[in-house]
Formats: sequence, structure tokens, C-alpha cells
Amino acid sequence: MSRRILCAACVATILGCGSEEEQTSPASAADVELRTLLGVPEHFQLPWIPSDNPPTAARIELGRHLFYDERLSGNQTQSCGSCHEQALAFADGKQRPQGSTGVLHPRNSQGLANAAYFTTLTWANDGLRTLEEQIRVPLLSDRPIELGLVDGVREEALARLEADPVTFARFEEAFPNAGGGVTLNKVILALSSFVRSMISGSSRFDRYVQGDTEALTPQERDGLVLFGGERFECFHCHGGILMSVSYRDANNPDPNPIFFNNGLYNVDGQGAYPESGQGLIELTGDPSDMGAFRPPSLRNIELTAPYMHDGSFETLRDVLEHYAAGGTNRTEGPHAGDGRLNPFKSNFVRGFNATEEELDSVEAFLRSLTDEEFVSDPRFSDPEEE
Amino acid sequence: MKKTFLVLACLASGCGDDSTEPEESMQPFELSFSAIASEAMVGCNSPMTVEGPEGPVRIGISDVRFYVSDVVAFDADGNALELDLDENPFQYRSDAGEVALVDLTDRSGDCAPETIDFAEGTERVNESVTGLVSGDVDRVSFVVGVPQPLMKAVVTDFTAEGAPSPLNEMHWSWALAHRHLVFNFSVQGPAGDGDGYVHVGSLECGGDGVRALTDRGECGRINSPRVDIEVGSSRAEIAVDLSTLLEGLDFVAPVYDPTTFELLGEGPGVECHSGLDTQPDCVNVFEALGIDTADGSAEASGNRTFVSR
Repeated sequence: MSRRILCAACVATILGCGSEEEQTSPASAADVELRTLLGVPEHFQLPWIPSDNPPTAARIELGRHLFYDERLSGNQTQSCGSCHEQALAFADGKQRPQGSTGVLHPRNSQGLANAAYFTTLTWANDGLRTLEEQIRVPLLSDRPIELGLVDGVREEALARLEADPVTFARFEEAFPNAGGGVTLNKVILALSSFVRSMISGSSRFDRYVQGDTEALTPQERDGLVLFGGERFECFHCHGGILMSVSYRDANNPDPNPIFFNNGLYNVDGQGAYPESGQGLIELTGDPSDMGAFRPPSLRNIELTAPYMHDGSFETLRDVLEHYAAGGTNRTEGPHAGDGRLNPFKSNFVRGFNATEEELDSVEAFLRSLTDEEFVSDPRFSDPEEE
Repeated sequence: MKKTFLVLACLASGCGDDSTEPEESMQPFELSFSAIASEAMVGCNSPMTVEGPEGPVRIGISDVRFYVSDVVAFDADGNALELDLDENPFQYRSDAGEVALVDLTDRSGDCAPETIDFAEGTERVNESVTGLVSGDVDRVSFVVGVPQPLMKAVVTDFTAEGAPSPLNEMHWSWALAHRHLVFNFSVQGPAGDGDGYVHVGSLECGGDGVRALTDRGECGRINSPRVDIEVGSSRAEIAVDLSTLLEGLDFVAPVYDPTTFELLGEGPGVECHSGLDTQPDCVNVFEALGIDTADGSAEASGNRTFVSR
């Protein structure tokens, strides 16, 4: 019994208080409709949605087809789905993905579950606040090239889509009366709507949150207590329904961006990360942003290995041991240096003593965040494979 | 639309209420652009050679594009003339401003996509900015880049239509802005072969809780070069001196392992993506364009790259 009470307190710590008040206000008909359209479970708030891209079923469906359409890359070899596989909760299982022209991306491909709820998108960019803006990056980026719709080939790619009557009809349905055929913005609006609908809220942890106390095993409940406790400190960066505090929703549309340095590197003894990935400092130039990355969501974390911005940890246990040590001390190799002493490291990464059994419990809890429904839901699957 | 622009032009030039009168006296106006290296014309099929610290370096030109905006033509007395720019696929006008795209490269010769790792050049070419002007032109001034209000309008536009031509090019997705000037090239020198990328664009444009630039009018670092030169004709020829733009560079850039992305060391190349803190080549490039490296403002008097020809 005492364990159950503790767990309830723990859930409150992780998910935050005060949300009940918001939930008591009567939902408008539009909200109910939106909740149904996007598949938002009752224990989630509605995501914040920019007013210029109201989701519709047709727009989401067009987005799903485009997500898996290789014609949308410069050389027609890759789609969004090439680096975001449903079976892996829309990560790709690789340390770092390769773009359509073979260039390796400097960052690990993240899962897309609940992407609609992030304050900022991607690993380290404080300006990317909406999916619409973010999706321009994999489509258009010239460095590194991802889908490679660079200026010289973009119009040709859009013309390819427009020439296909089935695809063209989907655009017409998603953008009735808009005219203009297939445009880059229509592609972006549809892809954003589809990604916004990728909501993962059916894990065993979700059932537990909703009152099914048997949904988690005793070991997982122990792990939850440790996860939400002041010794492990996980929840300070990975709290909330998103399991990341870089969170926003319809009731909280304007939160501050959040980035942390977690002591992964310290190559010069003064806090530097390897030049191939230094975090927010690459954009801001602010020395205190060295090694600062957005905390990723832990939803489906079991499926989104390898971990960290550069995919440098293969297993969840590697990650837990990194945090238990208060950072990573590399004694050899090109990135040698004691990350534990990184001067820019977050105060929450202090290190802690934990038994193997405790680490097992936290790991077990993290695995309870896997949402089998999400990774097999036909709403998100490749239409060509139906 | 045209009327709005005329009125704005009048306000800027102080031409009073008689703006509709001198229609007959309007004469063709043209700024025609070319790329040069120390006086010689260069392009996709005409490479240039510059002097690097270890000897001559062949620069194969892959892509030269830049936006031109806020064009003002002055007569010999220094009065701003009435100027009515054309509208066409390379020249766009709206209430938020007017802009032209100059694209000096197609996809032939060194501009073929396979010549550098990150080619992005287009087939279409446009060498001039055209319109009508109300008198004899002695001097012109303009800005190299997308005006901030227009950039704001385009960056925040998520209507189904999207950005009109020519604003549908040179977007800088990670920076949530446009690039003002792109110069991509191959580098072949004593130390071997590499690529060069000079991308001058606005930075610090990200939004505060909302989309980029929805909470303010302009980016933190505008980085738009300014030009102000004597031309002596309403058909003016202006050159972009690419050898000046690359002056003082060591043609050495970081080299990354293509499979691991680890920094291997340094090799032939040029890297400037407007990041002054991490890309030392930008300091020279910005200086040659008259951009203040401290705050991204610009002075025409400091721009040595755009010259009358």
C-alpha cells in the first residue's frame, strides 16, 4: 500500500500539479472534434496548433502519403520515413542517419512521438518553434543534405507530384479551393498535420496514470519512484506527459525554450564538446550554451536507441550509468576529457549512488513507456505497405 | 499595387504630388550585373585564379546568386529619381517591399551539380534589374539581400501558395531566414581539391514562443551589404568582384570524415555561413562586403566587392 501511495505522489511529481483544474473546464465542441481527429487521449491536454494550419483528416492523410513518398527527395531515394521508421517509434536505430546523397547527419534521428508538444524542435535550435518551420529543414537543408530539395531541383520534385493524378487529387482534397497545384507550403502544411497527429499515449505507463494500478509491475513502479525522486533527478528534465520539460500545449502556448548540458564531453577541460556537435552554441555563439541540447522525450525510449544527440550510447543502461556517474569521463580517444567536470553541466546532473537493482528498476520503468499501439497503428503506417 | 509603390517611391524621393505627370519622361532603367575577378569576366565556364598563401588557387564557380532591394537612383544633383521597377519572375513587389534576384549561374561547366558536394544552383539565370526611371541616372544605391519586412512576410507565410518567385530560393531553413548572397565554388590549389561555400544571410531570427519574426520586425543580425556607386548612366553595369570577396583567405577549411563526421583536420576549402564565432573565413568575407562583424549592420563605403564597371 505504501508503495502505491508513493507511486501516486510520484506520478503527480512527474506529470505536474494543477492540470486537474484545467481539465474541469467544459470542453468546447471544437476541442472535442480536434481531440478525436488527432487521437488525443483524455489524460493529455490538446497540443498547441498554429492558427494557419488547422488539421483536417484530408490534410493528415496527404501528409501520411508524403511522409513515405521518395519522390519528395532530390534524387528520389529517400522519404521522411527513411530516417523515421514506425516500428522504431519513428527513430531509425542508427547512430546517425545518412541523407539522400550519402552525407552523414551530425545528429541522431529522434523519435517523432508527441512532437506536437515540444517547445522547440530538433536537438539544439531555440528558434524552431513549430513543426511547419522545422519541416523546412529536412526538406530544404543544403548542409547536411537530408531530402535534398535544394533550389536547383525543388520545382522538378513538386512537378513530379503534381503530374501524378492520384497524388494531385489528394492535394486538391487537402487544400480545397486553394488552387495553385502542388506547392512547397502545401507539402509542409500536410506533413506538419500528419506529424502533429502522431500521438503516443497508450503505453502501460499511460494506463497506470489513468488509474490502472496493475498496468505496471512492482519493479516498474519501483523504477517510477526512483525516476521521480530527488536522488535520480530524472524528472527535472524528463517530467510531464511528454517525458521532456521542453513542453508546450494549447493551455501553455508560450513556454521558454529549455536546453541542458549533461556532461557528455569535456574535450579541452573547459567544457568544450567535439566540434562535430556542440549544441545551442552553434547558433547563439553564447559560450554558456556549449553542449546545451534539448531534453528528448523518453516516450518509446526502448525503441529509439542509440541515445544522446550523437547516438553515442547504445543502451539504456549506458545512459543510466552516465547519469549515475554525473557525466562521462573519457580517459582515451579523440574526445578524452572528464564530462563530469564540465563547467556548463546542468545542476541536475549531480550523479547518485544506485544499486544494480535500482538501475534495473528504472530501466524497467522506461520500457513501460513503449506504446505498442503507436508503433503498429495503421494511421501512421506506410500506405504502400497496406 | 503599382500605385502603392509609386506613392512609396515618391515619399522616399520627395517628388510631391506630380508623380503621375512625368510618365512620358520615364526612360528605361537597368542595372546589369556580372561576376569578375580582377577585371576579367568569370562564370560557370570561366574559372578564376586567386593567389593563396601557398601559390595559385583555381576557383571553379558553381553558384552566384544574390538579392537586390531598396534600389534608389540619383541624378547628378544627388536628388532621388522616381523609379518604377518591373514585375517579373525575378522581380517581386508587395506592400512589404520590393526585391530582385540576380542569378549569374546556370548548371553548365563548373556549375554542374556534381562539381561540389553541396551544389544547389538553379538552371535559370537573371543578370539584370530593370524598370523605368524619371531622369538621367548618375548614382545608384541598393541593398544586397531580402529586406527585413519582406523576409518577415515570407518566413512567416504558411499559406497554401507560399513564397512567390523569386523569394522561393535561398531559404535558410535552420536559421529561419533567407540568405542574401550565395557563392559556391570548387577549390583546386597546391594543397589539393576542396569546396568553397560563402553564404551571407540574416541570423538571430528565431521566434519567442511563436514563429520566427512574428514577435519582431527584423533579425538580430541583418547582415545585408549596402552598395552606393557612381554609374553615370541609367543603364548601369555593376560587377561583383569575386576575387575581392575571397581576398586574404587561406583557402583552408575544416575537413570532416564523410562517414563519421569527426573533424579530421584542415584541407583546401572556404567555409562561411555567416557564423563569425566559428567560421574565421567570414571575417574577411564580411569585411569585403562592408558588413560590421560586431552587429551585422553595413556601410556602402566599406563594400569593396560590388563595383561599377
